[in-house]
Amino acid sequence: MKQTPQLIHRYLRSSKRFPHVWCPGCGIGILLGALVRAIDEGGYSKDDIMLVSGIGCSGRLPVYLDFNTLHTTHGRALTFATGIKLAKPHLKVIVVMGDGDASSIGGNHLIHSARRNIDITTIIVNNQIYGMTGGQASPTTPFGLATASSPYGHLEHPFDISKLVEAAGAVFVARSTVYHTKALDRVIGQALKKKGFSVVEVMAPCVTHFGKMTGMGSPVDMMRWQKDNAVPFEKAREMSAEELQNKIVTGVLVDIGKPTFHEEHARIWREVK
Amino acid sequence: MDDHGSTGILLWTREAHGATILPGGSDRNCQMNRVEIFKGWCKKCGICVAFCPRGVLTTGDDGFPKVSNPDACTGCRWCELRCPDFAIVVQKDEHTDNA
Amino acid sequence: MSTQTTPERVLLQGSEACVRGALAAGCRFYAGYPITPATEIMELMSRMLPQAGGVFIQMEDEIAGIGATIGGSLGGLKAMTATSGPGFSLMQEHISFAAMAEVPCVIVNVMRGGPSTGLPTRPMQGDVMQARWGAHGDHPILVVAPSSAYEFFDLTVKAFNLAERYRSPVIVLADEIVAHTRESVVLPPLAEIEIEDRVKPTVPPEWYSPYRDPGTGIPPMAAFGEGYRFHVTGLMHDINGFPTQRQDETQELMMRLFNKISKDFHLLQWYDSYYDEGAEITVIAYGSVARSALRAVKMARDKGLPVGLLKLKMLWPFMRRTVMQYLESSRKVIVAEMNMGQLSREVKRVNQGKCEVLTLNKIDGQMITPSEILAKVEEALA
Ligand SMILES: Cc1ncc(C[n+]2csc(CCOP(=O)(O)OP(=O)(O)O)c2C)c(N)n1
Ligand code: SF4
Ligand code: SF4
Ligand code: SF4
Ligand SMILES: [Mg+2]
Repeated sequence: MKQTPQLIHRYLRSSKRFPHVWCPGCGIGILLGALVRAIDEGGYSKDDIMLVSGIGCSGRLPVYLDFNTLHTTHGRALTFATGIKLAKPHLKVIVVMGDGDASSIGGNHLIHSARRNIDITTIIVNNQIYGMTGGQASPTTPFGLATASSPYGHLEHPFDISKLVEAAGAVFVARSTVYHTKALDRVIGQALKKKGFSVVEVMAPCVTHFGKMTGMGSPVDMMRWQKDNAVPFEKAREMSAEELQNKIVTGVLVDIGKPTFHEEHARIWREVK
Repeated sequence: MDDHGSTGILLWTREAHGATILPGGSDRNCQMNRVEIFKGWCKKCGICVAFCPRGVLTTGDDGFPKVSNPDACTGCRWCELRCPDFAIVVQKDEHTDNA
Repeated sequence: MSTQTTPERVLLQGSEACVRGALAAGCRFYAGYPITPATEIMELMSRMLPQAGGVFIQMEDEIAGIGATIGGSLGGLKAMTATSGPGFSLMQEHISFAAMAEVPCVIVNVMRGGPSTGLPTRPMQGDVMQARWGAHGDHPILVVAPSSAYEFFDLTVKAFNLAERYRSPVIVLADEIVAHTRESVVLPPLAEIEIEDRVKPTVPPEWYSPYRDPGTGIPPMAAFGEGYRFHVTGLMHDINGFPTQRQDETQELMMRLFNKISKDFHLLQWYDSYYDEGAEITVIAYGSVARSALRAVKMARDKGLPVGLLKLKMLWPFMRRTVMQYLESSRKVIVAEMNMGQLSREVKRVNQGKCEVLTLNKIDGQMITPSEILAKVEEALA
């Protein structure tokens, strides 16, 4: 394994100022490192990486990296990414979205991208809250949690994003946490290699809002919570629903194959010419 | 900028923090595995200190992590991997493997 | 795709003419969602684009349709989408993005009747102001309005040229009658069609600043994936595309966005005029109404009445110079449109009391007939 700070300097934009914008201990920074290591490990050329994000704290990730980078609108990153992938099929297109970005305002694009099997790797930064707008409930906020927009406790039940994209047809689905950094590097690497719509759901603490609302006072508490509550997928299969309450099921949930949209489109080109 | 109502993110805008293009303030050690901390980028989150499996790191009076127990370092690099700010680097001595 | 070298006479529906125009202009990317009365455009694209080596994709909604269109354009292809009112409303956020990030793209809006679902198979011209002001934030926009199948062809070609020249979203505002009417059209030989492509950077990638003004107000545009690694965002950005809040940089960007188009206002006066010699009354119309108006003006001239027609082919930016000339030369103008008076507001705004501005409005989903316009003309002359 190459050393992060040295390796990362080869990928950070020298024209951007550091430290980056995220709060102390925010999981998005750890993910940034993991993504760079996975890309480096995969041996991709910088010119061939297309990094697209939506709006939210995670939306600020691409600007730091010396790739082709695009910061789109809230929830719609996958739509722009779809256009780019079809116009430039040689690009390795990676989309980074927040949990609200991906599963609330962008939920429709998420399931349809999975169904369509467009060749894009999607990384969903799940911090179970709307970070950027100040800690309102998101579609992954736990039932009952008091947030900035649910002061009497959240009345709704959370999505399981990984299961959602599995049902929608994603060919690769994995969940990891930023605490389990080596596993995170590994699943991102696998997702990048996968042809078709691959999803990595990354549990990444929002210290400032989710931390405050759950009473986990510090980044360390939140990382410890990830450490203590992560359950590998294989083990989770033998656990009851009660036992799995508030656990994070990690590992590779789906790894299948089917034709991708742009390959099928290319076939049509050959046939109608 | 978009919706920077979030107090957290504001803390770390370039205006608030000043610009540091390159890491500075390294804290070098001379043992086998060298652990360096770049204070210019470190946000004192404490993650490296809390999860070092060997208790190599402690929090100094200034709030920054400090290499207090260098000999115990195995060069496992967990501190480096989990640092959200790329502010800590482990120079592993390839000749010894005390992991 | 036709590769004809001589003018070709064909019977075409407006929608078909639009698709032919797009392909002739070099459109190689279409993403959209079905909606009456614009569905024909999408269906034809699904058939013809792959034959031309282009990309067609049906998206999950119109937001996705224009999102993918912008992506296709950022990937280097000339790209378009088409829709009608409800879908056009959904697209507004991304039109704003395209204006801010300066991504060329063409959006066809075939106007239907009424607010909401309204009258899907009937014409109105209710989206004139929305086309100008519908997307949030202050930014310029270019809107053309065809009145016939031929113009749908021609203005679609020109919309692509404008989009590529100004790095801007361009809206082709058609109405249901224009899109669905089948008529004989003479298409020019392909070689005679003027086509503009976006200016690409010639500097080495390390010197490229994606939003640096080269002096024309329009920065050269690299495509993603061709060796220029750069950043694009909908946030206010500096010349390198990176977010900024610095007043000197935000001011410069905003002024450049406006000036790149306003410096060329004199080139953007697209209209046809008929019978304007000695016209005491000028009818101003656009879209399918201009056809009824032309008929009405001919009927009036047959009766010896001094009436002319000004047909507007570009709605936004509003052709102040041209319209002023007619306001100065006429005693009265009649603005006929299938809404409660959207473009007539602009005419009144530039009029400054020079001339009497009358309006003829209809919003029941039926076209404005020549005799209705003639009656209005006679009333004005009485
Ligand atoms: C159309 C639109 N609606 C709302 C917003 C405001 N907004 C910005 S970020 C955000 C939520 C971000 O939450 P999430 O996607 O979970 O990302 P995080 O900040 O937690 O990484 C919202 C609601 C917006 N920018 N655009
Ligand atoms: S608000 Fe939350 S998600 Fe956003 S940077 Fe801060 S800790 Fe991270
Ligand atoms: S390399 Fe491992 S042992 Fe050494 S300081 Fe870092 S975490 Fe501790
Ligand atoms: S993990 Fe990084 S940012 Fe946090 S205290 Fe350690 S060196 Fe500083
Ligand atoms: Mg979130």
